[in-house]
Amino acid sequence: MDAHAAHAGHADGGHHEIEIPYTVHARPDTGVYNGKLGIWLFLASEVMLFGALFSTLVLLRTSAPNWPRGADLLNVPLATLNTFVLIASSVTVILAWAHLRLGNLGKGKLYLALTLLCGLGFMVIKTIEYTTKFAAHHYPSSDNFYATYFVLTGLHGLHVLGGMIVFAYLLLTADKWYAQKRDQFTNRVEVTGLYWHFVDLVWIFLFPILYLL
Amino acid sequence: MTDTTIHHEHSEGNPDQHAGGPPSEPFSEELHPTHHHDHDPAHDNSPEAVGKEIRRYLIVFGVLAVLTAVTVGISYLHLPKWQAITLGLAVATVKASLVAAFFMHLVSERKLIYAVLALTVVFFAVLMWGPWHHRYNAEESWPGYDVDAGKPAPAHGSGH
Amino acid sequence: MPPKRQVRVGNQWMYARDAQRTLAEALRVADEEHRDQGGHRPSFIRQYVFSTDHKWIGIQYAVTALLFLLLGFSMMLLMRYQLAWPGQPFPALLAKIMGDSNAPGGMMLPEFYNQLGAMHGTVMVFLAIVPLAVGAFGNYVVPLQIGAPDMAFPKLNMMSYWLYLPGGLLMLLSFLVPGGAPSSGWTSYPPLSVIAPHGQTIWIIGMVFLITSSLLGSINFIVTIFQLRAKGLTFMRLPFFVWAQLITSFLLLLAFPPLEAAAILQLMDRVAGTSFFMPSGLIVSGEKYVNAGGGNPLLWQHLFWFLAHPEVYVLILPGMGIIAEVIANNTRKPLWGYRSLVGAGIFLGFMSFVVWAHHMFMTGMGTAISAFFQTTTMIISIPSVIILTALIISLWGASIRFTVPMLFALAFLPMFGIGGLTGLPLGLAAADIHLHDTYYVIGHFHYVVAPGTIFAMFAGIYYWFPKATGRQMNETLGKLHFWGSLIFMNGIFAPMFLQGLAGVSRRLYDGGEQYMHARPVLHTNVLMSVSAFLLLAAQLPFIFNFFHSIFKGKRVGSNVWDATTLEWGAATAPPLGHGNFEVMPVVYRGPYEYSVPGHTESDFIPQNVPDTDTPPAPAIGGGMLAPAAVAQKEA
Repeated sequence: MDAHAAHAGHADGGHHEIEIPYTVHARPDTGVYNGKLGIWLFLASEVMLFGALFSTLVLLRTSAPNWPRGADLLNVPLATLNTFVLIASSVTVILAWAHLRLGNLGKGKLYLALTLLCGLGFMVIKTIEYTTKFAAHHYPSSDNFYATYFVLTGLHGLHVLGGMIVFAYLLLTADKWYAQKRDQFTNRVEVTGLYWHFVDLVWIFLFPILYLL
Repeated sequence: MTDTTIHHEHSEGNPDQHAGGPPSEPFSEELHPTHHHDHDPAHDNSPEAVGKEIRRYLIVFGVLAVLTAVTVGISYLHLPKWQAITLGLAVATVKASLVAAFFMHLVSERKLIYAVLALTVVFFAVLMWGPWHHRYNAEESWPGYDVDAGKPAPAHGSGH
Repeated sequence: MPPKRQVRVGNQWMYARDAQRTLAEALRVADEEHRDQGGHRPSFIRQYVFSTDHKWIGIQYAVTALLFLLLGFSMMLLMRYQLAWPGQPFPALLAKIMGDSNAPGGMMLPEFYNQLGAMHGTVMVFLAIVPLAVGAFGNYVVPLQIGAPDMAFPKLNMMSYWLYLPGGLLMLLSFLVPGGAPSSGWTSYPPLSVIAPHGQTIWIIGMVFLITSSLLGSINFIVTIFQLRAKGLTFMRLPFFVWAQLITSFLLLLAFPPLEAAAILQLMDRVAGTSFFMPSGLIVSGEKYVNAGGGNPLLWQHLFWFLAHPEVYVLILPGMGIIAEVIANNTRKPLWGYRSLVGAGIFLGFMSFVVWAHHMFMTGMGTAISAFFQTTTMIISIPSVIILTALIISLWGASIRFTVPMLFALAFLPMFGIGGLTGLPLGLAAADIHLHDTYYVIGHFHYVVAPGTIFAMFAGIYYWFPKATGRQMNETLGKLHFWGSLIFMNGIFAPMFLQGLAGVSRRLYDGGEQYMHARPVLHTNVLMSVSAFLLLAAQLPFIFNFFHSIFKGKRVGSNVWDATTLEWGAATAPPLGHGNFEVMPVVYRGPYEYSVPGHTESDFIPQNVPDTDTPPAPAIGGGMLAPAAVAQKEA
């Protein structure tokens, strides 16, 4: 078949850079670009992950003859401070995105750095909390209250850490990337921001459930 | 015999000079005429619009801060357990909705995203509902224990 | 002078020899340009190891998953030998493979039997079938069928594979740690799994790898299908296979995270001493187990089955998709009830999230909640029946081509039917009390997955092999493989229903020898085990055929089955190259336009052929129009 000659030719020509459609711009019928749909799907799965853990908490708590009130055992002022820090970081990341859209790379980077700093602050406060608990011999194995406390906050902390790594990467590559692919970089900040807001949102539930109620 | 040598100019020239010829870029925009959006149409990048957005974000930030203070304040009132839980979760839900609506701009998102989230919410509810049927019945498992108070109930009847 | 033939390039006719030279020159120049821009040919590692090309990743998945399939099958063979001849030493060779610590003097230890059981299930479900159905077929076929250049996130795609492989190897590594592989079943129920040796910890970590892998994969598939569909390829023009993969991806996306959470909790129970799944007052080996207590073992079952029931549909839906493609192609008719198929598939996916507790009728969860899950279970059988019925009616009045893929597809229908219908008594709480945990259950789900899904996978391999390699697998060997597999699969699984109805437990190391009630059905153990070894023999023609055909198979054109979907008409194939379409295909019609009345030139119209009777404008070296453009010749 003649078709073979043509096909054989493609075997050698097959190393061109592949351009995937809609990585930057929205597809008209869905109205979103690939990364945005991707991150929302990821967040949907995260909802189910934390959903399973919340379900665990509800089941264990309602089954327990005695479940302590978080405020009696945990440090509420410190956790309140952490709540403010995390909410502030949500604002800074969205300001970073807003300024990048305005074409202001300097301010964008500043707010990204502030977000990273807030994340760091959150982790430091978290570490202080953990170390005081360990010093007082409260471990995950102590009882189911501490088990859920450590697992839920620990997993949330890992999410904060993951976000910080991405922000650090975005900051380090900002200049180069913004110059070459401005829209794509802005999108990545938006998408990372969506993830970061979700981490904030989880904390908004964790805070009252674990510390206050 | 036709001359078959191809010069570089040919491959670099405008491919559309031959009617019906293939575009030089396999995935070029010509094939997607409806595709010329500079930005996500959901977002207006003009300085006025973005400035308005920024003001809105700062207002939301203020509301979230106030609500955080409120929820902590409520916890110091030592309300009965179920009232405290209901109120605490209600405030948390309002805060989370603000974050989702404005920071994650769900107020003006696409149908596809809403559909994905609606599906997730349904299954989340199922997940919260299912396992709960296997909770221990605390009254049966720990007779004589006042579950709400978290201590042995005052003896009544035959007592212990 | 012999007559010279001309071919059309662009809008110009030229002699074939000249066109060939033109093409060679064009490729050379393109190469040069590419080098000038600082590009270079991807290294061997980039191209074949850490490839980002969906086709190559699909092949990586296929080969790895087939090896795991063989491995899981081998584990079962060892178990079947033990079940048929309990108390007798294994043949020297098999004893040597198991090693002295697992089979001293050739006698398999009960502990090792349990390890094989747990690992057979784990390997088959998580490392063989799902990676084959989703990772291999999904990756290779979906982007081609929707006219996409690749997956939406090629690097994530690569990461999916490179999380799957280490996760799988880690699982196997557990055979080497003290205490051996996990032995608490593929379901890993606590408290047993929490007090088990180290192998279980490795199982959990391996699961986290696999869950992350399928999470990345499912996001990638959903985004690809929503975002990268070719122009004109509306949802109601998608091949049913793509629909099946889309629904499957949503199941993986939303059902797997709860198991990930459960795995984290079990890991904490094992290594950090928490008591999420550990009740108070547990006695282990005659001693009180020291822990905080207050946990709930049934919580694990909920979180596990919240994944594992949708997982059942993850196992079967891609198979149904493949069968639909093969049946439409070989009946030369449109699928009967395409819309019903799609609707049933979506409903099936949705309902699969609300049936999980039918695995837990024996846990005493109360009659009201049992009735609820019993009802949803009966409801979910409706879409399955719709799908199967639509596929069967599609055969009506067709002049069927009995190709090897079609033979497997035809066998799938009754086999899956048996598997599905035998599930109904298990879904009814009252009947389940007798049948729970007996061989009946094993027979039921193996009919769904083995002669069901695995036959669909074989159909898919024989069907798309020419697309991936440019060569066709040998028909005679394929038929040998088919008939052997069909007969011996039934030889293994049909007697299980008898044993199960007689009440034989599925977990017995001696096959039920010590139980009076098992005596009347005990002889079937030998029949099943002999069938299992003959099933292995029936796979030999396939294994030989697979590798032989890669190099020596009959060379075929790019649309060997005269199929309508985009991967056959439009792709640059057979050889692997990164990128699929020289020109983005445009879709003008539904996926199964076979034997269209009034269309006389051929009995099929590919999806990318326009409605008008003027032929499409040919393109240069176009993958999309390659056969039309290049093969158009004049004497």
